[in-house]
Amino acid sequence: MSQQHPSLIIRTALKSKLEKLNVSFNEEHWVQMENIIIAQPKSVVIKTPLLLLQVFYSILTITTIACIIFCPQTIAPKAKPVKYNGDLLVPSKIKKTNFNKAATNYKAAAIVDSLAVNSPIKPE
Amino acid sequence: MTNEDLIQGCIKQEHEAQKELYKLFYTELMGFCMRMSCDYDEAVSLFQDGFIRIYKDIRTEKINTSLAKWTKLKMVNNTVELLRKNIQQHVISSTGRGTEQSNTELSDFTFVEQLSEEQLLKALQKLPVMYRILVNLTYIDTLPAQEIAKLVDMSEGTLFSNTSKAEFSLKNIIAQYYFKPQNEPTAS
Repeated sequence: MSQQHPSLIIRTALKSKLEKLNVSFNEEHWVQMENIIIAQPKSVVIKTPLLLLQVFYSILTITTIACIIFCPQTIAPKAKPVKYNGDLLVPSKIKKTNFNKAATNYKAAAIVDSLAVNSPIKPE
Repeated sequence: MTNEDLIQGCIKQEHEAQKELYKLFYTELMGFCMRMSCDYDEAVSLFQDGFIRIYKDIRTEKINTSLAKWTKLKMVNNTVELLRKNIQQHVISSTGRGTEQSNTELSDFTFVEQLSEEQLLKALQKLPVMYRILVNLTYIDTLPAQEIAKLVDMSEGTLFSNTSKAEFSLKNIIAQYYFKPQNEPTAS
């Protein structure tokens, strides 16, 4: 008769004898468990923060949608038209560019004028 | 009461359903805790703790497998977690026993077949905690190696080497405590 490997014998014995241990129900253990369950707070404690969070997100969503519909200016304000030279309506961007150009021209003119004033050859 | 009724009852935190669930899985899960612990008191504590987790998780998780599988998985996870938390304490208390293993080299281990359930359980409970977890999950509960490695936070290579060390250690304990040259198993 061939001998079985010790490991195999032990593994088989462990599996067959210990997998289903003969343990009978102990009522005392249930009484202990019942006391633990009673002492523990109910699930309301877990649900409340979730509920609050849901309400908060709902309010936030409704407010955002209302803002988009009723006051779009609050979310993305448009560029206001501004008056330039008394009678011309141009957006602020163009106004700024023109003003810079005008300022440059004015400075150039002033330099030319001063050169003309200080020049030994006087204009007739 | 069907399993679905039990689940719904436990979700509503009905005592009847909770007791029914407790009774239904008591034998299997308490047996598992006894194998995983070093004594009866620890087993009861592990079992109660595992059931608290089951009652808690049944309310929040969706059960995709059978109720029996789900409860067993919850108990396994909880027990391994708790034992690993106390591992330092257990290692210190059990290393002494681990080092004084006998060097008995036996070619014939057939006497193990004659050992009683209680004797084998006692031998298993004498193992250091991590070895006990590995022997239980690998040879008795026969969980896949990948799953065990994840549970005990080890690589598969380390798991295999530790499992074989655990088996060697168990062999030594059995030989030391129960082997007699005449092959007469002694009472514990």
